[in-house]
Parts: sequence; structure tokens; C-alpha cells
Amino acid sequence: MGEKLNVPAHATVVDLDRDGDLDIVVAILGDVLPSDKLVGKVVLLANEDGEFNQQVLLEDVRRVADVQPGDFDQDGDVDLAVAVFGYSRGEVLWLENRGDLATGLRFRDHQLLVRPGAIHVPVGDLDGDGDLDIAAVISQFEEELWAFENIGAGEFRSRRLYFSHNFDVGGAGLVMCDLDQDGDLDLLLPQGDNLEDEQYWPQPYHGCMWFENRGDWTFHGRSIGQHGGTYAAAPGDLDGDGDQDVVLVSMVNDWSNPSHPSAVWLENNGQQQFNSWLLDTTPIQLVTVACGDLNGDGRADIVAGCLHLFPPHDLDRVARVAAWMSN
Amino acid sequence: MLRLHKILLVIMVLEAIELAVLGYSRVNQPKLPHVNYGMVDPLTAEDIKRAERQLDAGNAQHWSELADVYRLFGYYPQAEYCYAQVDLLAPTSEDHLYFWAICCERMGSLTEANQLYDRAISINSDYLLFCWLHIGMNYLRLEEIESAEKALRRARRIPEAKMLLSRLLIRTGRANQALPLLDELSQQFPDAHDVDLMKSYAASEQGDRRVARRLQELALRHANTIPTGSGPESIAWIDADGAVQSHLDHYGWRRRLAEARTLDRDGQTDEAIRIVEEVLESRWSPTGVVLLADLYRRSDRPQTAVELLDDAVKRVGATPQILERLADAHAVAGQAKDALDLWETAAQWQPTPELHRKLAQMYAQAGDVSLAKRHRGLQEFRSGVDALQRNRLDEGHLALDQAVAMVPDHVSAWFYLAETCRFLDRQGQAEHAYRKCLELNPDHGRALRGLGYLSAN
Repeated sequence: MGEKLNVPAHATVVDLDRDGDLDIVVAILGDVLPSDKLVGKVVLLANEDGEFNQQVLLEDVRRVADVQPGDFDQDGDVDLAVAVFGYSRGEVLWLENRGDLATGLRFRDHQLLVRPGAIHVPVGDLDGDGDLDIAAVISQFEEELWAFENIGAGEFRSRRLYFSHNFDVGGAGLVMCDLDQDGDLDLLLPQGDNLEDEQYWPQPYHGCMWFENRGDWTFHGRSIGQHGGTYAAAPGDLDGDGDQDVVLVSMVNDWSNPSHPSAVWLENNGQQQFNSWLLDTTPIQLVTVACGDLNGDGRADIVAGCLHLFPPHDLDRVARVAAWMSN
Repeated sequence: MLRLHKILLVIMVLEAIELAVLGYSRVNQPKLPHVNYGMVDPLTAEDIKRAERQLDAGNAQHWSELADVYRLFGYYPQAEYCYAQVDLLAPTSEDHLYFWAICCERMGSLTEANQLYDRAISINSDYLLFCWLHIGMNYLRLEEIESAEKALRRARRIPEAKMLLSRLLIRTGRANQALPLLDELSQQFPDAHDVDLMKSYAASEQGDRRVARRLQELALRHANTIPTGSGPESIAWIDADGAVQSHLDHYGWRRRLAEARTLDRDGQTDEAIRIVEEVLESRWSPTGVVLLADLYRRSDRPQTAVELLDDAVKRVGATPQILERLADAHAVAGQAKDALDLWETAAQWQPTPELHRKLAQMYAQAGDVSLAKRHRGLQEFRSGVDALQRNRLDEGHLALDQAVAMVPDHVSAWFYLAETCRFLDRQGQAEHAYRKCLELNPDHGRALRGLGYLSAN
């Protein structure tokens, strides 16, 4: 679908050109290694009768880690939120869709935040006022959680929701979900990236934080599970009891020990108290995870993706994509 | 008993004693912890095993050296065990406490690590300041802010400590106390963008958005950072010539590749090729492939280089670096079209002045004057952006001026020319260039903002 895309980091499906079929918007990192070069892009793979034509929507920026759609200015078309991770310099942008049927797609970039290390920019109505807000996790040296409150007419108010004094905590992603099912959107923050060390190791502060939305832009954060090298989290009702459990996967860990878990799941007792259970020890070096009902049994299944940058390269412990089906 | 018999008997008794002593020491020699050699390549594993064989269990220095090897390759429990042996044999040794603490720290045993740093401090270790730095860092990891601040203040002669202290002060509402520290860092490291950014955070905390923005813009034009990871435990460092050096280069496949580079420099390219081929057999890596391809190409074997790099693309996918090498090899082999296609792709992915220079030259040779001129313009554009990002504004201005003359439809060339002029305080030229940029792309947000800054000034 998308040949000659250099290090795509994230793909999002959306009908961006409003022609009734689904397109794909891709965040192009441009370099998998740390770099401040202007190699990032946002690329649209426009669906034209099943053929996907590439169109560059944003370029001449540092490494782009995520792009998410939403009609932020409520003018009926789809805008984009963009996480420009960069390396030691980066930013969070939103791209205002200013195109029409005559001119085609055109986007104007607006800067929301100057920070290196933006990983994910999930979109949702965080304050329940009917418009879409943007959240962002800032990693690297900063370790912050930001929200950009949509105050209308394409204007946003920046709000820092959280920071950690632990410069090394390794924020690794951000998931927007209603974990406690109280009708508002909460945030899940997996922490455990320590790729900056030559020789990485799981740390006691790695795991997942849940930021409970208590209204009026108050988010109460607490750890819901510890897991060395946590790189991604995904909510889902894994045991079919009606509440939201959470899966955590690990990228950096003590892989010299084959019994170390690469994935765990956190069982929700319905009161947002979580027990951690081993899901698997292989494949190792998992960087992304999602939950969904793949086999139609009404319970969430799990799919995870790997990134094998480092040893061990034992063939029985590596994979590209792995799935765990409910039974 | 004959004299000869007596001598033989004495020799036998002596040998028996020696065997007994050897046997006793073997039995009592601390057993090395298990090592999973699968975590490193076979060549590195051989070097580690050699270090293990050379261990004299009664020699503290030997334990320390073996510990260092384990630590380098992330075998922290094994390294910790060896440092503990040093501690038994030579408890007043200074170095082992620091490195032992580093191992504990890396394994997340932060309290134990700090206890070891405290011990090192108590004997006035050579690494005193770094001990305080790490204690401060560990307290930050533990979110124990007061203790972190105390330790970082004691380590503040180290730039990294000063930066962490500034971060802590800004985040605890004391930006005014952080700014003098950051000013000291700016004086010491005038082109460090991490200092600019931290100062911009301080300005934001103080509500000074204009200063914050100016510092953010400055950060984009400063290419360096303060030195971090500069402690004695650092695996890699930058030497006086600006080259990256690594302790890892003394082991395994890296050592062999370093040997090959030396041989090549000494004119023994065939031997260098033999070594790199051997290394790749044992441990395939893009680094080795790129080196071998360069050696093949310079040895009039461009087709072999092409095959090697084609194989690399099949194995790990294309990267701009591999594509450029592959194109270079095609060019030397006289396959101009393949070279052009690959350079074009590499230039789309990770454009450099050098890539555009090669493309311009190739198009000129092919008689395509228009494309040759375009790539010369793009070469100037990339050189101009590179200069701007190093705050060499006059040099950048010159290159970007030439770029827009050769590729007047290039939006980004006009934008960066405008930015350069604004930073040079050439308001009229800046406005002209912004407007040219916006003529080509009316939705260029950065150009609109730049124009707004001009008006505000």
C-alpha cells in the first residue's frame, strides 16, 4: 500500500478526503535511530478504488511519531494532530484542513507545544464539552503529560496534567480510554523505555499509570501495574466480566532470563484495583499492543508487534506480530 | 638409594605439593556466575570467555577487570558478583565501589547503589563528584526531591548535575534560582540547545512568553548539547578530535572491524576485506556490510559491492545509508540509471548536500541541464539549512540565496531564507522571502508565524 515510506511509525485509518472510502494517514519517523534531522513527514495514502496514492501532507519537520484525526475547528472536515518526536528538539502540532473539493487537500500547521519526545497524540473530548481535545505524552528528559483544551475557533489552551521528577521513567505511549466506565475519558501512560542506556535493564518504576478523569481538567494519576520495560498498554475486557482490564507489553527487559514476562495482563476487579498475571514470555521485545474481539466470542483478544533491535535473536523468541486469542 | 632416585623423589614430592595447592585453590576458588552468552555475538562471547580464563581468583585487580568486561556488555549481576569479590580482597580500593554502585543502579537497586556511593564518598573516591551526581539521579528516580536537590547541589560542578538541578528547581516553582545556573551553562557551552530549551521552560514558568519563544528559536540553531553520560562508567565518549570512541570497540566483532579499518589505512585492503568477510560470517551487521562495500568498491570490485548491498536490503530493508552506498557502487560499475534511481530515493528519505551534488553531477553528465541545475539548487538549500542549524547565519544566507535563485519554486528554501534574514535582523529581506514562500504555499504555518514575529518587532 505504501512503498518507499522511510520508517513509518504509526498508521491511522480515516476518510480524510471525504470521498466515502477509508484512507490511511501515516506518521513517518524517517530514522529509527535518534536524530534531529528534518526527516519526518505526514503522508496520506489516499484510497482510490483500492489503489493507495501517496500525498505528503507535512514535511521538513523532525521525526514524526504519531498522527491522529479529528475535526478540531468543527468545520466539517478532518484535521490532524501530530507528534513530532524529533530527538532533543520536537513539537506538537495540529494541521488545519483548509482544502475543499476544488483545491484538494491543504493543511496549515499550528504549533501547540515545543518539547522533544512527543510520542502519541490521542484525540477525544476530555472535558465533555462536545469538541475534541488533544492529549500528548512527552518523553525524553521531560516526562510530561499535556492536554490541549479546545476552546473553539481553532484555539487551544495548553494544560500540563502531570510531570515526573524521574527523568528516566521512560514514558512510552499514551492511550485514551474510559477505564472506569464512568462516561468520561481517562488516560493510560505506559512507562518503561530505557533505550537510551547502552545496556538496558528493567526498572522497578516501569509499568503503567492510570490518570482518572475527575472532571474540570483534574486527572488523578496512580500506578496500576508494574512491568519491567513496559512499552505499550491496551485496555480491553479480557475475562469477559464487564470491566476493563489492561495488557502491558515489554520492549527492554532482562532477556538473558527466558522466564521474564514479555507480556502481562492486569485483571480489573471492577473497582479499578488490578492483579497482574503473566500472559507470555515470548515473543520478546514487544513495542505495540491492541485489544479487540478477533474471534467473535465477545471477549477481547490481544495482538502485539515486535521490534528486534538488540540480542537475543533466538528464532524461537522473536516474531513480527503475535496474537493471543481468548478461549 | 641412588642420588638420582633421591632427586626424582624430591621432584615428585614437589609436584605433589604443587598439585595439592592447585587443587585446593581450584576447590576454594569462587565459582563464576552463569553467563548467557547468547546475549552477545559469538566473537564477543569468545573475548568474554578469554577474560574469564585469565582470572586469578586471588587477585583483586583481575576480578575488577573481569567485572568491567561484564559491565560493558550489560551482564550486571555477574559484574556485581565480581565487584563483591574485589571488595573482599581489597575493601579499600576506590574504583570498585563506584562501578559496583553503577551496576546496582542499572539493575534498579537504587537504595543499595546509593549506599555504595556513600561508601565511595567516605573514602574520598576519585569519582566523588560523580558519586553525588548518581545519588542525585537515583533520588530523582525515587522521586525523593529534597534528597535529590542536596546531592545535585554537591555535584553541581558537573554540567549534567547543574542541568538536573535546574530542571528540579523550575518544576518546584523556583525558576528564578534555576536561571543563574543555566546562564553559567550557557557561558560554558554557548551552542548547547538543551540549555536554551531549559531556559525557555524557566521563562515560560515566569510567564515571559516572548523570551521563551526567542530561546526556543535559538535552540533550533544550536547544534550541540551539554556533555551527559560523561562519568567514568561511560561506554562511549567523544575524543579531542571529535571522533566517537567506545570501549566496546575493544571486543568481539567491533574489535575485528577496527582491526580491518587499521589494515585498510595501512594499505592492506585485501587483508581488511578478508577480516570483514569473516566477521560477517559470524555476525552479520549493517555496519560491517557498509564497511565491506566501501572496501570492495575501492578495490575495483563494484559489482561485488552491489551484490552485498542488495543482499543487505533484502535482509533488513533499505536505509538511506545503504541506498547511497548501493548507488555509489552502481555508479562505479557504470550503471548510471540504477545509481540515479537509488540516489533519488535516498535524497527523498534523508536529503544531504552530498546526495544532491552527486545527482547534479550525474544529470549534468547525462546532458540534463535542467535537473542538474535543480539538484545544484537543492544542494545549496541543504547546505544553507545545515548552516542555519549551526547558527552560521551569513553562510546560510549565502547558500539559501543561491538556492532560491536556482529553484525559485522551492517553498522551504524561501522559508529558511526568510528565517535566516529575520535572525540577521534584515527585516525587509525577511518579509520578501516570507511572502514568496506564502505565494507558493499560502498555508505555510511557520511562514505565517514568522511574518507575525516580524510585525510584532
